[in-house]
Amino acid sequence: MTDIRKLSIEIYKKVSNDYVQTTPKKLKLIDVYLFYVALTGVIQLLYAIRVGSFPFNSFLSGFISTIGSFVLTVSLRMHLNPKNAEKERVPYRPERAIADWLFCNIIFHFTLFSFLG
Amino acid sequence: SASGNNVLVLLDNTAMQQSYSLFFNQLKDRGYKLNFFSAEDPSLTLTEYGEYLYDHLIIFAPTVEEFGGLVDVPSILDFIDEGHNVLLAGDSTVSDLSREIASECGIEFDDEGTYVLDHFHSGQSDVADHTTVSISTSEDTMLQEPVITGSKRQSDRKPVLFKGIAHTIKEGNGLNIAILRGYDTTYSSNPYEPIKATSTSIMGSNTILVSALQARNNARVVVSGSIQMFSDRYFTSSSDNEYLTAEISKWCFKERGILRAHNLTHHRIGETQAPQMYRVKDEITYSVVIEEFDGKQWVPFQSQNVQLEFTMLDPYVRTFLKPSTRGLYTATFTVPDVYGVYSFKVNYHQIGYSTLSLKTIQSVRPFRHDEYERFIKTANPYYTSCISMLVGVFVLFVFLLFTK
Repeated sequence: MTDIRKLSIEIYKKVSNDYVQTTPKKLKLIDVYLFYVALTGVIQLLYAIRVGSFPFNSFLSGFISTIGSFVLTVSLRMHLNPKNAEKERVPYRPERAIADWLFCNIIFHFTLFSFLG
Repeated sequence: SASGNNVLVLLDNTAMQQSYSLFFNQLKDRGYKLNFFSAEDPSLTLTEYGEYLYDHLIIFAPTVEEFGGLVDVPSILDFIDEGHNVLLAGDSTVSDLSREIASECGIEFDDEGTYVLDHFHSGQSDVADHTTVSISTSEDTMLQEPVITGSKRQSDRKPVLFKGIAHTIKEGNGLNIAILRGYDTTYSSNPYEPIKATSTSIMGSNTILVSALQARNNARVVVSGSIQMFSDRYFTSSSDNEYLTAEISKWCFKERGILRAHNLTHHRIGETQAPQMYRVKDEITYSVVIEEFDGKQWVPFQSQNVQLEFTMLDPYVRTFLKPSTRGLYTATFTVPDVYGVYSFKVNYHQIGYSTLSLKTIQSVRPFRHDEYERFIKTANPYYTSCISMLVGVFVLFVFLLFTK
């Protein structure tokens, strides 16, 4: 028992240290933003469960805004990560990626606002 | 009277004009024009060229088997159906004619030859004859409605003398009213025949002496089992007959207890005119002026229990109308959530008063699309989340541009 606990604590420490040391600042910024988006999504879900999803269109709109933003920002992060480019899974095109991300967000939120009511 | 002053009086014989002079004189003093006829007079008629010549009818002819002229039971019933009033007095010898008129009004006389007897409340000093009953008017025996029986206090009233036949009515049918009834010791039977177990079924408080019918068209029929109750002899024998018969005749001939309503308005609070349609959840007020006739003129009616219903198949709102000193009744309420065609209904039924039935139809529409609230409070978190996501996108964009 204590072995597993010790082991998991070691793994956690190594992963977090590696993350803090090896990820570039841009990606860390995006990660913080992702955490914030996920947090608002969870808060909304809890609110809807507690109080009820009365204006259902508004609830969907708010919740999906967080999910959509999360997905778009994750894809942005993938494009901005130079390590991905080395393995050639995702082409490394930072300017194009940011422009795409901004454009998609704007159109996405446009739709959401009209559904918000 | 509120409905005219012409009275047709049908008598057994014209000598009754003298023996009932006190009663007729007090009617004349109140402004009525009495037309005395013998009940078998062949020139009798209630209508001429389709219009009624008389507004009220007094039938003091208990022994007459058939009326003369064009008066008969159907024509008298038509007279009542047209809203006119009848005062009918019977006797122990009441004929089938009067029985038929009374039974059409829900009043069943007892068998011929029976008297109302009460050995504990006899009005005669002669012990042998207990057919004159002396009823002291209290809660047990007299209807406690000043509209019908006058407003004299209980302590000022003397007993009422009655000699005649009993009748029964179906109380609780809403139209028949018992005005004077017997004591628990009163019963109805033929005093000149031996008592059998089946002698009578009318006894106790079910022995009705004077009763009334207020028909649905507000016509009033008062039936008394004793014509002698109206006689001069009883009026002058230290009794309350003069007062009670005067009060009952005032009610019967529509001098009292008549209501009318006018100036019915309803509108939204803050406006003066009713719109074509109300909207769901509007605040509206309804007002009506109700007056009653006090014998000479219309005065404001005061009552705490006039109700208003706002109903569409079921009453969604039922409130009391609050009276004011000038007889203006108002109520304020919120239109319910359901839209449709409603009606404002005032149905006022009070014993002794004419029925008041007011109905106004009004439509209620739902919200227009631009009358809903623009932003819903419970959706605030969702609004803020959408906005904050967009704001976050721009903030992140700025940061991404300026970090290495």
